[in-house]
Amino acid sequence: MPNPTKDELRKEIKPKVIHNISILSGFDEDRIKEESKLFEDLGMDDDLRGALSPGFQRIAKAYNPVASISKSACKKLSLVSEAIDLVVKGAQGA
Amino acid sequence: MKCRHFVSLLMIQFVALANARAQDLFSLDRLLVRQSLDTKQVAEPAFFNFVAPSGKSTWLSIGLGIKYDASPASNWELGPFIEYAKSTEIEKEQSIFKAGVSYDWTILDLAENISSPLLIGKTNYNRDGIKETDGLQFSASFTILFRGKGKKPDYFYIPNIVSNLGAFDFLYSPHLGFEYEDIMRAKGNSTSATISRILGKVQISIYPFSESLENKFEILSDFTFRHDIVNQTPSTDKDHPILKLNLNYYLLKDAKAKKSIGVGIAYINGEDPAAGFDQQQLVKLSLIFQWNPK
Repeated sequence: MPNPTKDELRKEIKPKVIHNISILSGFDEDRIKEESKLFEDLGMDDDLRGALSPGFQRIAKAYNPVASISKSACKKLSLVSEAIDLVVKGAQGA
Repeated sequence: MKCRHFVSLLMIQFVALANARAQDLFSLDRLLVRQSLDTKQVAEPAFFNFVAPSGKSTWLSIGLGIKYDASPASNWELGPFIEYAKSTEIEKEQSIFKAGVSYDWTILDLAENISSPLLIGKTNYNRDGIKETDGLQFSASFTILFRGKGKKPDYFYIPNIVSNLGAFDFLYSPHLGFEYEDIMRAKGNSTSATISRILGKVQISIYPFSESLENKFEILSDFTFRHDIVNQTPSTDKDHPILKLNLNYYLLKDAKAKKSIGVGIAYINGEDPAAGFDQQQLVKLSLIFQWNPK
C-alpha cells in the first residue's frame, strides 16, 4: 500500500490533533479552528502547550514509530495549524 | 529607597526556528533565548540597555539566558543552559554568570489525567563577579497543572488555567520551591559556605479586554518571597521579597508571522540573592520587539 501524501496525512491527523487540544484546553472540538490561537483564543499558556507533547507524540508514532515531538517545540506553538503541521512532520519523519 | 527611571533601548527575543525536523535532537526548535530562564509563563526577552543620563556617567546592563532542550522524552525538557546578567551602574553593580543543566518535567500526561505536578529546576555553576564568589547552585520549584476549562469564569480559582472574567482574561500560577547554594570561594575568605532557602512565588497575568484587544494589553506580576533556612555567610538578612510588575502594550501582535512590537513599563522592588540582584526599586520603560523566525 503506497504511503499517504502529505495532504492525505494532514487530513487524517488534523481531527486527532484537534481532539487532543480540546481535551487540554476544555474547548469543544467544533470551536477549535486551524486559525485559532492557542493562547489568546484557547487559553493555553506555555505549560499547557508543553503538555500537548505526549498526546502529539502518540499520534505521530502511529505513523512513524521513531517520531519524537518535544515539549519545547509544543511550547512555541502559536496556532492550531502549526500544531497540526508539527505532528504531520513527526509522522512523516521528514 | 531610591527610585530610578531609565529607558531600555532595545529588547529582543529570539525564540526558535520552527521548520526543523521534529524528531531531531539537534533541532533549533529546541533552542530558547530569553532574558532569564527562571520565568515560567511570562516571556521576558533578552535585553541590552545602554543608558546615558545627562550630567552622569553612562552605564549598560545585559540580561541573556540560552537553553537547549536535549531531552528525547515528550513530557520533560532537559538540557544545558547559560545565563548572563551584568549591570555597570555604580550603586547597583551586577555581574552574574551561570552555566549548568535545567529541567522541566510534567510528571503525568494531561491527556489522561485531569492534573499533573510540574517540576522546574536547575543545577549550575554560579560566578558572581562583584562579590568575587564561585559556587554551585541547585533549585527546584513545584506547581500543579490542570486541564483548561474553556476559559470559563467559574473556574478562575484553579491555578495555571486561563479564565475569562468578562472584562479581562485572568491567569495565576503559584509555586513552592527550594534553593541551595554552595559558595566555594568568597572574596577574602577561603572557606566555603552554604545557603538553603525556601521560596514561594505567585505569578498573575491579566489581559484587559482580551477579545477586543486580542491580548495586546497585558499586566503581568510576579511576587517571590525567599527565606533563608541556613545561611553560613556573614549576612544577617534572612528574608528576600521581590515584586515585579509589567504593563505592556503591543502595537503589533501577529501570531502567524510570530512578530510583535510594543512598549512596556516595568516596576521592580526587592532583591533576588540567587541572581546577585541586591535590594533596589526601579522603573524601566521599554520598547519591545519579539521575533520568532520560522
